[in-house]
Amino acid sequence: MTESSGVNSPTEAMDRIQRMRQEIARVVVGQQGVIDQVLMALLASGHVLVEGVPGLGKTLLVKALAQCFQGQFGRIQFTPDLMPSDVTGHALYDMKTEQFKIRKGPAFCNLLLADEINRAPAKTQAALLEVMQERQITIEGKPFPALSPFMVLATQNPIEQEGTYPLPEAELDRFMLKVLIDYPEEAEEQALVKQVTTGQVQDTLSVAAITPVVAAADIPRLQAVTAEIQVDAAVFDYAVRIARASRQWHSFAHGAGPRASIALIRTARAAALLDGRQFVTPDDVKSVALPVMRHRVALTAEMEIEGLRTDQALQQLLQEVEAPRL
Amino acid sequence: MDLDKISVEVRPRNPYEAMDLGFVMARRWLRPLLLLWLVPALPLMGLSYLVFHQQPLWALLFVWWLKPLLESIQLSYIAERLFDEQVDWRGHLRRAHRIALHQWFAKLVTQRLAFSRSFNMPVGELEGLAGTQRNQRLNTLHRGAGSPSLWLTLVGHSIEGLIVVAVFGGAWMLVPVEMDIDFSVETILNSPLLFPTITLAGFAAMTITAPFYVCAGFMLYINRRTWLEAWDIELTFRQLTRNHLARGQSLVMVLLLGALLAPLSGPAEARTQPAESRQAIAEILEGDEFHQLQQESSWRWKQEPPDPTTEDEQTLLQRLGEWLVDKLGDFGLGVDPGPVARILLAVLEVALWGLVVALVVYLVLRFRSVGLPRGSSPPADSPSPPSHLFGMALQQSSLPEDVVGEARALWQQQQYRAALSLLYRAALSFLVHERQLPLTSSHTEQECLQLCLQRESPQRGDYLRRLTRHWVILAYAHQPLTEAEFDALCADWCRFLQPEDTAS
Repeated sequence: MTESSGVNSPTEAMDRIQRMRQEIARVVVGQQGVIDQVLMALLASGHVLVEGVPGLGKTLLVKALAQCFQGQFGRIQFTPDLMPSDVTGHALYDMKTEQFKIRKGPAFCNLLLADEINRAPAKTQAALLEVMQERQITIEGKPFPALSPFMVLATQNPIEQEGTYPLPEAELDRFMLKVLIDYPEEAEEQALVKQVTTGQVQDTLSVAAITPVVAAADIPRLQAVTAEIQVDAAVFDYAVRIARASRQWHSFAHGAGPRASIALIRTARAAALLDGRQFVTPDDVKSVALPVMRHRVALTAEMEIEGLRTDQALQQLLQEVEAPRL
Repeated sequence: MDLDKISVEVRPRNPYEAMDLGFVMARRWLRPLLLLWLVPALPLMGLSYLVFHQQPLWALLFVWWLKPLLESIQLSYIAERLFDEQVDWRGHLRRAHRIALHQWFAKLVTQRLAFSRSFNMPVGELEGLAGTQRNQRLNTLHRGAGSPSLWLTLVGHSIEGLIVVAVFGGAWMLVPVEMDIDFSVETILNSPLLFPTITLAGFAAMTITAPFYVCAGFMLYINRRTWLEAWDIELTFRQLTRNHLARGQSLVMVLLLGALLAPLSGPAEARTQPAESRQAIAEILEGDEFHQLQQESSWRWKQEPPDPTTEDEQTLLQRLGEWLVDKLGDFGLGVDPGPVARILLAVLEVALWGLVVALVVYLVLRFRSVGLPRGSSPPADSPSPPSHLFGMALQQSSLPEDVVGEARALWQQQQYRAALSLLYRAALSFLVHERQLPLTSSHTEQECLQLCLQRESPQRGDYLRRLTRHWVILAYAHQPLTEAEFDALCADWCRFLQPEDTAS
């Protein structure tokens, strides 16, 4: 087990991050963009909503991420009959000790995979809200702190919408990024098939091949380094202007709130660190604008009827917002 | 005919209202009307089946041809029934042969295929007119109700056809799929059972439509006469007279009303001879009302002398027209060169012009989004270069003549940021104005660089890459570059500006 080696300098942090990136990419083939965005969310201490059809390696990605920092991995398959206590845990009366014992739920972990989160009713979805925002879980009125680092990766399937409960705006806003996971390129898929079928019996890739490169205790340090990445006033201004422009943009029924501006800067910091820089440029902000904002805006009915997609509308918006003025 | 006993409300209606009223009458008296049709028609149908037992279609056609005779019995009944509630249909049945055979030749030969048959029938049957008199009378009546009566016949025929198709279709739908009966036209014609059944359906269709057709045509006729002879006004006067008599008014009043009504009585009879009418009309036309002179002034085109070129065009058009007519004649289309040909050519001309206009409109709409260059406006793919980018003035006029000299001077004054800013600004200004690089204000530094790398020579791209890197570090990381790096940028500035062939 990798001991906590105290990531202190930004250079050291960059080195660890690059190694994490490489380790994950060894197992998760052909999804470099997704890996980067998930790493950004981890560094920025945010949660990710992953949208993609089944079978593109979402679970594998989370397992690989957990493995590379030896974090605890928890998984909940959301179903219509899932109860909030199935997520958080519950109190159990112990006959021997004649006391209530707290049985902690799967949310007590470092990386929580909430599979098909939109299949559970709003009550259960809301159980995640507290732990996502407050980093604490209340069972029977008693708050328990969540593990650190804590990150939720929720998935939803864009195709099967029947019998689903769309996530409420409040919960959507709590996800830092919405990552779209798509089919891999032909060459990548060939590599994937070769990797899965050679010398393996099961259909899934094993994450055992991943060497842990940081300890779970290092992650908060990495997050602290990320939070110290230098951001110029002009870049702050740029991020805020993007979020504000979405509120008046003609294609959107409602735009992104202040959480979007915050997420833009936090994610841009992570992007800069991932890119090996200690300062944020407007390009960082622009490159993360789509995953940060796509779930925080809603298209107007007319635009939806015209067949415009959220990403296209956001691209149009970004073309109109002036890059920072110095 | 006693108008007072009329069993419908008399008022001038439009033809379609009148037909509706006819349908209401047919529904009200459907039973006697059907009996009056079926009692003579069923034996006729049976007889025709006996005669044409191998050809059921002929049997049906035979009865169809005799329809006017059968319908005239129904007409005589409703004509009387309209004015007398006590009429018994049996009396009509007893007189059926007399009614049917009245003017039988005209009904079966000359008037059989008339499109307004049900509307025309009362003129012969009830007014007893024939020949020229009938035609004149019909001319007058047709002026207001010709078209609706024609439509009545057409719709009546269509409904007959629909009933036959519906009967056949209903029977076909009831046949199980497993029976796999081939319903081709040949099978139907050769089937000993099926074809007579269909002809019977045709007979049933005639039976059902006949009362409605006759009543609607008759009411059209009655309505037309109401318009022409003001039956409604006459009835009102009669009512007034009766009221006054009932109240015991003075004899003078009655006489006065009687005098008023005198010219209105006898509505069906021609009140004046045609010669007298003509004379009266001529007298009216000679009156002052028709000879009032009035001066009006308006703008008109002056008659221009004919333009020789127009004449040429006309002769060319005429020649083209003649050629076309000749060709049409050659093709055996039977176009008669003359007025018909001229009308055809006029229609053709209008159609061709319409085609041209439609084509132009289509082209305009189709290529509306292409955005053809208009006048002096710049082409769509090269927007006017922005004067500001990243908050920096980019106009060439805002830059000094010697960019490098000015930058070096700023560097010496330790204004590192201003020095590098000047270089970066000048580089972008050069790309925007000299190289027409389509930069917009939303482009970030890296996007500008990518565009430059795509479109410009590698040397120029390389220089901008270095410059951008230093600039970004200085602007966002607040880390100044070394003097050596700045000197290198200044030294390579001239190579950046060099034309591509020499730069590469």
